[in-house]
Amino acid sequence: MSGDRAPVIRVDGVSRWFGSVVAVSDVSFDVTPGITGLLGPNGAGKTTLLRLITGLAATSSGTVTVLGEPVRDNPPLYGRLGVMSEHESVYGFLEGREFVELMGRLRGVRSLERAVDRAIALVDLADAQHRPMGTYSRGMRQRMRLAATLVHDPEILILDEPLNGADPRQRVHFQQLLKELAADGRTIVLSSHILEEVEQVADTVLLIVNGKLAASGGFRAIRAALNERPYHVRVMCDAPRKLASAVVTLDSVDAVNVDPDGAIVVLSRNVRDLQIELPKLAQAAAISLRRVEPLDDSLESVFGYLVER
Amino acid sequence: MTAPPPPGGTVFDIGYQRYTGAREGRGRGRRAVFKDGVRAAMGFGRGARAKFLPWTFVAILSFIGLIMALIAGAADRIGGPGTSDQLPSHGDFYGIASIILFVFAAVVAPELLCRDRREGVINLYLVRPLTGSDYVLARWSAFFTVMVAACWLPQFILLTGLAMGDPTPVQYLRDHWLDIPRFLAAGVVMAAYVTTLALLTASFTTRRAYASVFLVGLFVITVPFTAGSASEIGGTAGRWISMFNLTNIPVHVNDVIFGEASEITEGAPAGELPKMLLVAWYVLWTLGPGAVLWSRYRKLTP
Amino acid sequence: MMPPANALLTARNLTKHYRNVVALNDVSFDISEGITGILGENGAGKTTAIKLFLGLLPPTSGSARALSQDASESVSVRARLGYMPEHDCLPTHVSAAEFLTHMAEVSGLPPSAARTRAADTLRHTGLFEERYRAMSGYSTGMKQRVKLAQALVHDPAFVFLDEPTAGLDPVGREEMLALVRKTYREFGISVLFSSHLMADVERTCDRIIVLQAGRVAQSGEVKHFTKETETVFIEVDTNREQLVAALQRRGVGVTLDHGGLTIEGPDESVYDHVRDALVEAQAPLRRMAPRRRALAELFRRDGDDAIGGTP
Repeated sequence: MSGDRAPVIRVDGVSRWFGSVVAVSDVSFDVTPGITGLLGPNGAGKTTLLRLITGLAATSSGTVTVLGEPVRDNPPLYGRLGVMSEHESVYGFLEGREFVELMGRLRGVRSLERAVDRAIALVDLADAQHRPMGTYSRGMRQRMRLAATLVHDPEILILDEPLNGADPRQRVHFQQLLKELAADGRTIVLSSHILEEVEQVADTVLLIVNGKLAASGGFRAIRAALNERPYHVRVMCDAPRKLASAVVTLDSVDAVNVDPDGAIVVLSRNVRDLQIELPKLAQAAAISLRRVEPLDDSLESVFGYLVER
Repeated sequence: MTAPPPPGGTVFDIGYQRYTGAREGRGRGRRAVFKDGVRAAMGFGRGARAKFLPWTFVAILSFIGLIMALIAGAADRIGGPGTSDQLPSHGDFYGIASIILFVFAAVVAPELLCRDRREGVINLYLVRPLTGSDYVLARWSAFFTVMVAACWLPQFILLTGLAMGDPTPVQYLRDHWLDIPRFLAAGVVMAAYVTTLALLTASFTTRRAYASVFLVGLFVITVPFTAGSASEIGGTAGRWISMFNLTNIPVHVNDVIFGEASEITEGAPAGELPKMLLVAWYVLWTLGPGAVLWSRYRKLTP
Repeated sequence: MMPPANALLTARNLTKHYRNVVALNDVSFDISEGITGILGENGAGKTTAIKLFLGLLPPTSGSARALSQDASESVSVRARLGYMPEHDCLPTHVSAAEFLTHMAEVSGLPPSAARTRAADTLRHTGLFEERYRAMSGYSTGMKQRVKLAQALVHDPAFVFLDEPTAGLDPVGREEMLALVRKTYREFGISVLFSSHLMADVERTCDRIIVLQAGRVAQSGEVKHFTKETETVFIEVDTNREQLVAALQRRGVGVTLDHGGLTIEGPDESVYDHVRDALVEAQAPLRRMAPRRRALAELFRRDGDDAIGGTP
């Protein structure tokens, strides 16, 4: 990865406090093009951080730079940012199209009609655009709000829980849309609680716990960086107890459980060691390995571990 | 002799247990909603702030009863026995207290209906073995009970005061015993009316304050207006205008019960209309709103 | 057509019209013991179906039976049903303990039993000292627990949960799903779980029903929809190219796939080749497992068994 490309968003030593409540504490990271997931428990400071990134709030210390310029009090920069907040209320009497047009006008979009058509087509709501938004289902409202966020074709998208209330089909469609938008070179920051979905779309993640940055980067790399934590692997083979007795000889293995269904679960302190040694032990004992599954590998499990720390 | 064996030990199962006890049906549900309504109205179990308004009203009403008794006693002492017969007594109390009873209902009754709809708790009631009409009937009964108590308490204070003030209390009671069933009945009449109107208004909004302000505003505007125009215009038209004096509607029935116009309604032109008409008018203004209230809640779904 | 012996809820030709909208269109299904998930778009009929089973609305035609009684005929069947709404429904100025006791009484329990059941149910749903504080101070997670507790306090035979994980962060969500599983597996109360999140349903439910535009589009066991395919997926942390080469030398056909590689429909002998190739290539083995279909695929494919079409 080339280091000479300036990051799209740079957060440097940023803190934000409200009296004695420290919402964000000395956070620094860079955001580059692609999809970045912003994760964290409720109350961890994600929403405050997003407000700082979009210039809606001032930092108590540190700086936020977007596309090379400070983001606060910088109206020309706002034209290149698309922000979709958590708050779902809209004017119910406005037609969907009118709402998107309104947002477009506020942003000074040229060729408004075409831009609106394009944005509405992206979210697949052309059929419903002339109905008042008060008649929309929750999922449709969210999609139209997204169209309004896209109407001025921003390079940077900041989305806070955009899928609230969306049903399964809309969620799948939305993930595809995000991938397409990112493939065009946009920078997307997506805050969500649904880790399975973030895992599927995000290239990198930022995990905020109690106002501090607990982890950042590619998910696989984070996972690997946690290799020293206790790690469970479920193994199915044709001679479980024989394999168990071989595995327990490894120094890095703390325990082996035998499940009633014949699988063994190995608890190890050194992931890499187990990954290399397991096939070797099986080979030496002429045991056929059928299945090897890490139990703590999901983003969910990594998240849980990092939050508890 | 060998030591006794060590004591046995038991591990108890405190996991989830199925409930095999009594299930008492809708009656238990209605009673629970009723009890909760009384508690909400009087602020029981809700902290000091919730008790302030309802108990202040009760105190004011009791105070009025007490004052009336004391004045009667003083009058008898000064002007000789029998002077107090001219003064306001049981038949006049509800007329005097009507505004206060109205404001009490306007301010406190909405608490029983508005909050549950505003916070969404009504949805939890409706998915239980309880219908919307069960719920509103139980709430109505709760506030009605409170109102009846608020009407009767001052009357009993007044009665006690008058009896004690009389040189021969027992004789006094024997002479005036008819007042008792009369003020009990008139109290029920007052309570039913204010309860129904206040709750009906509350059923139209989720914010208590709006309901209270609407009701108080309604009285503040219509009462002087109708009273004023009725005396100005006079005649049949004046009597009918006076019928729309909302605070007097139940008081006219009170007058019918006591057989004579109270202090407050003496001058009201409506009092000249036939008694049956006044009673029917009252019934219309109580049952009508009651029916609307019942039907609004019967149709509620979560 | 007789429902299966242990069907707790039965819908037969159930139809519901509202003014000019058809919410449910001639649907028939049975819900038995266990945890059943109900998926579908907004407006597909999920909430309407729940209201019909609770007897809160009369059907336009057809029947909805709950616990062997016609749901709309009697109010008393609700004493054995519980419902956890999606939206806010808790009073702010009372404590959870007091509120639960009241709700238990409203469901028909005598006062002393109500008090005990309320205390026990709060314990089982994980609310301890906080139960004596006014609910205005509760976090979302605590409020969801109270909502679940009020659905269980009267020991129903069946509960309806509407989006129980809404608004919860990942840890809270996992705790709530664990509670839902506990509700059936430990308490023995069957559940109908309505959710937008595929992952919730996959992890918790035994069976699912998918509603679309008022009709049943799919129904069956979750295991059936997420069953394993014949493809084996292998993920190694490094030396992937060496592994591929080692496998090819042993005559095993390999396809590269995202972070790993896949092998089609292996017979028993292939596993040993894989093991030996791993040792030879010194490739650290992270995962080796058959690919599973995900419920999400139901909504993704454009083929015959996909859900959807034009929105």
